[in-house]
Amino acid sequence: MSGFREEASLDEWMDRHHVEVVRTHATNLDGIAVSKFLNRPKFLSCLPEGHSIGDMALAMEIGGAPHVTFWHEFRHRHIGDIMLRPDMDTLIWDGSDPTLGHVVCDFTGVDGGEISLCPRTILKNITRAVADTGYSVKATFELEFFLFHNSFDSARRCQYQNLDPVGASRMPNIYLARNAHHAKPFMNEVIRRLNWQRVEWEAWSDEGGVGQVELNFPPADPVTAADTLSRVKHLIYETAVDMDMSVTFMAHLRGGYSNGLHIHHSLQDSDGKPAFVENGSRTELFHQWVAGILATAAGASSFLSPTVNAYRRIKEFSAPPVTPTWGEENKTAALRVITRSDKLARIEHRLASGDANPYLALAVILAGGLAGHQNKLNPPGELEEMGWGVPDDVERLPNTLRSAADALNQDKLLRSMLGDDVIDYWINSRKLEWMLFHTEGGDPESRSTTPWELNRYFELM
Amino acid sequence: MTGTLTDSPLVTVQNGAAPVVCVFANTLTLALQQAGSTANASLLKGLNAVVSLKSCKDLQALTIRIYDQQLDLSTGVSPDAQLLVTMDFDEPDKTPEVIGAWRHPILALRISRLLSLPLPDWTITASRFWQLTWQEPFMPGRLVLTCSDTAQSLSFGDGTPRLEIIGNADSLSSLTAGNSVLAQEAMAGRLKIRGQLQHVAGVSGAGLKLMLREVSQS
Repeated sequence: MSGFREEASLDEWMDRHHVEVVRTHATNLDGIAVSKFLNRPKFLSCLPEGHSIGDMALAMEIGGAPHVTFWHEFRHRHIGDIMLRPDMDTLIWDGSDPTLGHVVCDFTGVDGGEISLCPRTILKNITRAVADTGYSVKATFELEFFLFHNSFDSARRCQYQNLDPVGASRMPNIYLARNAHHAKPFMNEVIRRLNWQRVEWEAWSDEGGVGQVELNFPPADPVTAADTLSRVKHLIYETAVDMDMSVTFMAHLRGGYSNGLHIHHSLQDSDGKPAFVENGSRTELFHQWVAGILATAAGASSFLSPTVNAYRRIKEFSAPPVTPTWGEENKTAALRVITRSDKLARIEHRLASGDANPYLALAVILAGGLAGHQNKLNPPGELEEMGWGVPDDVERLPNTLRSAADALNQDKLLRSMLGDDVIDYWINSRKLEWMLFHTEGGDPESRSTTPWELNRYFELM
Repeated sequence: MTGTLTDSPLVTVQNGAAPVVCVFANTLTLALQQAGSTANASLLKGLNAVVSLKSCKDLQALTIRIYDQQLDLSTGVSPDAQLLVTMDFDEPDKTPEVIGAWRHPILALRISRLLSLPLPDWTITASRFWQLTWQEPFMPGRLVLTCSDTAQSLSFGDGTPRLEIIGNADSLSSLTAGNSVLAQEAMAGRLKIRGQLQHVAGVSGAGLKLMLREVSQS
C-alpha cells in the first residue's frame, strides 16, 4: 500500500518508499492545482500546521494576477502568507517519480484557522452539514479530456490550434474500439501510475469528441472523490508531458462534443442503506433533494460552468442540458436519475463542464440538495420528453457567464448554505473573468473558441 | 470647471453588455447631464442614427442607436450602422478613422460633437462616486483625492483607515466616473496611491460596479 497510514510511523513509510521530497497539492478557486516541493526534513518539521504560501495562491485569477478588485477577510491588508496544511490521510507515494510523495492540503490562516474560501473546506463543510441531518454521501466524477499527438511545447507554439487528435476517426464517434486502441498506450501509462498511487479506477472509454477519452472512478465520500479528480487531472497532465503528448480538460475546443464533468451522487442513511429509494420506490428525501438541486440550478451553473468557454458547450442537442429538469434515465435533462433499484439509486448531474472546480461543483450540488431537504421543497414534474429543442417559453439554464453570476447573486438558498462571503467572492471572480475576456482580446462576436480562450484555458484548467 | 449635473436624455445599455459599452454609456450619461438640457436638445434634436465604434487595438466594439432623444448602447458592430468609427478607446483625442462620413457628413459632425462632450470636472464626479459607493465592501473610512494639476485635495468620509489617490484631473475624473479601475490605473502608473491594498481593492471593486451600472446611477 502506498499510503503511509499502514506503516508504524511516517518515518518508516518514507524510508520504505525512499521518499525524500513531498509535493503539497491544493486546489484554488479556479480549480487549478498549486503546490510546493519540500524536502523530507522540511516537510516533517512543518507538520501538522503545514508550510506557508503567499495568499495569492487562493486569490489570483487564471492568468496569475492577484485579485485586486475585490477582497476577503482571510487576506492580509497587503499581500501576506497563508498556510497549506497537509491532510495526512492523503499522503501517497508517487510511484513514477521514485523519491516523491504527495499530499493534498487545505488552505488555512497562519494561525491554523479555517479559510472559508478554501474549496476543499467548502466541500467538507457542506458534507458535514449533510451528515448532521443523518445522511452520508457517496459521489464520483466522470473525467473527460481531449488527447493529442502534439507535445505541449509544439501545441503552445501553434497556440493550441490545429492539433492532431489521437484516434482512428475524425468524426464524433463514441465507444469506438479503434479510437480506444489509439489511446491505449497513453491510458496504459495513466493506469500504471494510478495503480502505483493506489488510486482506484473503474473504466475508461472512447468519448464522443474527436480524440476524447473518459475515465471513471468508483464512488467515494465527497472530499475523497474531489481529491481524486484533482490529483488524477494532474497525473494525466504529467503523463502527457512525459510522453510528449498533450491533453486538455477545457470545456469547449471546437465544433462537436465538449468536455463535461458529469457528477454522480447518492445518499445513505445512518445504517448505510440507500436513502433515495426504499423497496423500489423513490423516497420523500429523494424528491426534496431533486427539488433543491433544481431550485438552485440557475445560480449553481455559475460554479458548474465557471468560464466564458464553458458556455460554448451549452447548446441544444450537444449533450449538456439546457433546461432545469430531471428524468429517469434521461440524459437530455439536467439531472438524470437512476432509481430502478435501491443499490444503484443515484443522481447524475450533467451540467458541469470539464473546467469546473470539482470541490465547488460537488459542494454546490450538495448545497442545493440539502436546501431542498431542509425546506421540504417539491420538484417540478419529471421530464418524460426530450429536454432539447423545446419552445422558447420553457425555462432555460443561464447561457452566459454574466447571467449565471446574476442568477447566483439572487439565489437566497445557496447564500444560506454556502455563506455570503463565498458567494460574493465567487461572483466577483466570475465578473473579473468576464471583464478580462472582453478587455484582453477575447472576441465576443465569435461563435467558436477564441485564441484568447485557448491560450488561457487549454493547459491550465 | 464647476457645475452641477442635471437630467439628461435617456441612455440605456443592453443586458450583459461588454465593459466598453458601459464605459461609453457612463461617459455619455454624465457628459449629457453636464451639458444641460438646452445643449442636449441642440445636439440630439431630430437625430436618428446608428453608429458603431470599434477599437483600433483589440476586438472591443459597440453600437449607439440614437432616436427620439434617447441613446441605446449595445455590444458589437451593427450591420446597419451608418457610420463605423475606428478609434483608440484609451486615447479618444486621437483622430479616428470614420467609414461613412462622406455619405453622411452632417451626421458625422454631430456624432463627433456628441462623442467629444467632456466629462464633468473631477470634483463633481468624485463627490458622486463617494455618495454612491461609500458603503461598498472594503472601502476606506476616508478617501482623499488629490489633483496633481492643481494640488487641490478633496476628502470624503471621516473614518479610518484612509486611502489617498493622486492623479491629474482627467485620470481622477475618469476613475470616479467609473470609466477606469483604480488597481489597473495604479499598475499603469497613471494614478499614485497611499494606503492599504485591501482598500485599493475596495475602491476598484466599487468603481467596477459603477462602470457596470450595478450601483444606482444618479
